[in-house]
Amino acid sequence: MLPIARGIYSGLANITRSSRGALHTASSLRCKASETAEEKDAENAEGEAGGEENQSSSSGPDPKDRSKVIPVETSMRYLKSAAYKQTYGNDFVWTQYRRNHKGMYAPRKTRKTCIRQGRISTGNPCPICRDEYLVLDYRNTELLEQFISPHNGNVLSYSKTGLCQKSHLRLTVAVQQARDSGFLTYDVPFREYDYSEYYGQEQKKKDIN
Amino acid sequence: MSLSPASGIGRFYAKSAKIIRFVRLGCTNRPFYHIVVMERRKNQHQPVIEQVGSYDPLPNDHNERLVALNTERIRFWLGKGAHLSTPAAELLGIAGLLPIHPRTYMTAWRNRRTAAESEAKAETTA
Amino acid sequence: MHLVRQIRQLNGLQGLRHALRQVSTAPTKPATLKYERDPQPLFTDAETQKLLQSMTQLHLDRVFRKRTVPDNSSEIKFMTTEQLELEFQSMVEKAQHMLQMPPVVKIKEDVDRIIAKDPALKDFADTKFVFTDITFGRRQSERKVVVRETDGTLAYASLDTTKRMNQLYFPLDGRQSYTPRMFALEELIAKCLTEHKYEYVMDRLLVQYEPHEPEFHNISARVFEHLNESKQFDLLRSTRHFGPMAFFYAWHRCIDDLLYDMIRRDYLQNAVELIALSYKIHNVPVEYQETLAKLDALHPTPAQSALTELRSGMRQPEGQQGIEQEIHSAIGKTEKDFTADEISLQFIEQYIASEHALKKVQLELAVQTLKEVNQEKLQLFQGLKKAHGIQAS
Repeated sequence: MLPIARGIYSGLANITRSSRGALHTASSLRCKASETAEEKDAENAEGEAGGEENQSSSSGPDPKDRSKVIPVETSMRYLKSAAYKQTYGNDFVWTQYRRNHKGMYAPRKTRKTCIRQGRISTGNPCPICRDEYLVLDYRNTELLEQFISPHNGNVLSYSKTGLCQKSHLRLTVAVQQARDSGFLTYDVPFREYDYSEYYGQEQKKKDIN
Repeated sequence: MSLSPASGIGRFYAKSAKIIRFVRLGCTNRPFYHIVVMERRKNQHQPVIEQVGSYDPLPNDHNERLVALNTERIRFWLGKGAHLSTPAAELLGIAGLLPIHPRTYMTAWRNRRTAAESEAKAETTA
Repeated sequence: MHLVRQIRQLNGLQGLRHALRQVSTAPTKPATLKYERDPQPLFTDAETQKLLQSMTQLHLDRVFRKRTVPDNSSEIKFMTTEQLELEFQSMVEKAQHMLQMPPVVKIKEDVDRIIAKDPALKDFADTKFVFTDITFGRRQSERKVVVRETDGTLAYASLDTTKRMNQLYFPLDGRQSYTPRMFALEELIAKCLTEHKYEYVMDRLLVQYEPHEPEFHNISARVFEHLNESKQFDLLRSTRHFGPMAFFYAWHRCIDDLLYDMIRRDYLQNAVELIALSYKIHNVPVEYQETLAKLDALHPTPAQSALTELRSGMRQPEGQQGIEQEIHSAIGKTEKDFTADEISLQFIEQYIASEHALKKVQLELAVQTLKEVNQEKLQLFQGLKKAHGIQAS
């Protein structure tokens, strides 16, 4: 178990060093790792990206640790990788997520944040917080597009996606920035021209002359 | 405090004295004025007859103070015999709608004098 | 506490935005082609407008593509045939309105217009005053904005200030009060162009800038130049930007790529119109009106073809008409089309032979291929007709 884990981490480190070849090896390693992890602890029911850090009991990095900053480029490559495909399939990142709550009705708002002091502080972190390789940034269009309604172009509500309030705020900021910089396209309001405003005056001037 | 619409909901007598003046809105340390027409005897926070403009006394990023004036309605009310408060008259004078108010000339003159005095003082000390 | 920190971050972003605004004063890379004299009289000419509209074409599914707008609801109604016909016509009118071309005008120069000077007013305040007339019912272009400088001068505001004030007191939907990053930073606009987001860039440009601003001219020229290199003209076909684009190419004598694209896609009438437009702009002594009139008689206008397309959804009466329709749908051309093609091909070959064409070999090849395909289709057409026993008229 341990050597495998070490292999994964070296592989992940390779990803951050931005080599495309390393990505494939890393993802294959991770696939292997998640299989073994599933065999080892059956309780690990969450076959999500959380599985990428297998929950080995004693040594190895803390799976709930989120203090390391992942660069956006890594995240963008992750979204195209086989590992991503295996964890989420063709679904959106938030489709399979379910909120935990007491009683029949979920609270109106989601929790304030999933990450406190660089650690995951909850048992059911939101779809963005649970996978540390999903980075909300205006350049990460593939991720942002998953949170935009195809009908009216708005950012989907947190009651639908289950994002924590902090991630949701970050998401809206990122979407706005992406639209401002032309990374995301949207339907620009139709502008109607009153031609006389542009041509009429010219003609008037000519008449005077 | 809720804003009244620009067309105004203030009730007024036909022959009462009307005045064009400022209403201070905004909040503490952040003045913002509406230029309104209302009955002269009323308190500024009473409902107005009509709003005819706005004035932002704090300069913006481009270092300019923004004034909006509905000139058509202002002229209408002045023609009806509405009075003008001094600050409003000054503003309209600066805008070129009315002759410049004497007080504007006074302030300009005082400003120039203080500037000249401070310059002279700086020269003597140097 | 976290929220407070988040808000602080947001404020930081605004600081960034502020910095960007300063950046924006340095414009993006200037385009090489410019309108050196006023293009407006030629553009607004009725004949030019007709040519451009015909070239734009009208594909209803393109114009009324699904948009992400707040209200995307649809309505289902029972209608009589007459009501439906009226509805079709109003639909086509609406589509034509959606294709309204943005005006092409020359760059407006800023002129100082001083109303009054009053030296006694010097230093009356420490900042200048900007007065905007907000009288109800005025149009944007005739709204008066005046500035009183601190030295007592009263003058009309510059175009830039006027636009800013207009946007402040009468905001236009979709326009930003700052320069969008997309237009401010060179690498972002270059990225959009390489990803072929032409329509998006142009749409946004229309909303953000007035047609007489230098930025508008600069960015639209860049988009058109890039399009001319990437040759993805079909992306703008049946949008409101196609007309100005064709006009731009005709003006700057670089229609050959667009012409090649049109011939390749078998839009021969449009090709003829494009050549005619360039002749018209550059006053080339070639008689083109006659050819155009002949073609007009043979081809339906874009609005008419859109209407027939709408009507084709309804059930047709059976009979002789049905067989001819069938042949038409099988080959995609009617007898009229073949004669029209012949006329237009003649005209196009004449153009290719003249000294105005620059990419002769390419164009000749395209014409040759098209001719062969047409020949085959014609044979097939005649064979089918004979088989169905329809007399050649």
